[in-house]
Amino acid sequence: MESGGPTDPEQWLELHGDSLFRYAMLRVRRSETAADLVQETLLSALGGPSRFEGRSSERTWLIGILRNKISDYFRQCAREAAMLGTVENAADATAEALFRADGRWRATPERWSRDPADSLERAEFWLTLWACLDGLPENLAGPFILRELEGMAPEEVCQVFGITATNLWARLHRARLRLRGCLERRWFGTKRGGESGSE
Amino acid sequence: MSRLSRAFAILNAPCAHIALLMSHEFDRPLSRLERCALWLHVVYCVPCRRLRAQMRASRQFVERLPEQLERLERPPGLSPEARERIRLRLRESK
Repeated sequence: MESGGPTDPEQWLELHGDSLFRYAMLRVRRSETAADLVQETLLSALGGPSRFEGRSSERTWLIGILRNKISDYFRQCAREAAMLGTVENAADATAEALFRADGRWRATPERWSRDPADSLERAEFWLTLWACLDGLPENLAGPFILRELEGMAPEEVCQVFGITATNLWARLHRARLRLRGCLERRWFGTKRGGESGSE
Repeated sequence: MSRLSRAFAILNAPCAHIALLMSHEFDRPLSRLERCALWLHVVYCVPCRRLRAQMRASRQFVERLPEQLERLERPPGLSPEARERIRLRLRESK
């Protein structure tokens, strides 16, 4: 919408639809859900009382609405998971694979065989990272995405999922271990005794 | 557990616990004792030092992922069907 001009949600769709879709897709990880959220966002923008000022803030304004929709989506998922009793999976396969029962290393992390700085320049790296994020189990992905991609405060994430801080920290830790492990397997490989890569 | 034995337990924590502290570091302020245990541990434990560096790097990658996806040559977008469905829905609501 131009400042002071007519409201044209179809123009929002043309100008910002793909960006909004990518924003949602990265977080909710399902294209149908992401498209639904884009639709809800534009409908809310159309019917909502709040407006932005200036063309440059139009996308920011729409993303602000979308972020609330995404939080609502995760809240709904958490409620459904609680009702179905699928909130927790007892075993933590990632931690079990890395550590023995007494807390000592079972499989130590190796040096990354590729230089992370070089990887950042390659589109394939980012697609691999996206795929790794996509592969996180539901109960870890939601909290991780809100915390790390949305930058939400831990207290807010706990509220969205109705979990304690201790539970959140455990989930975030498991998600981080999984993501690191996935990058190691799918991108960085390992190099025993080598000098390159992240320490 | 007395304060002394708790301090001893933290300072002698196994690698799995130290790894957990590395993650907590991102989400909450660590206590002075926890910071000390983490610092001392990574001084002598190469795998934990490596894990910490890689977890930090991974976190930075995730932080940059959204902007990088926007820079892809052919970034993913709405399918024509989804776009049309949304367009029709918006027209109905005008």
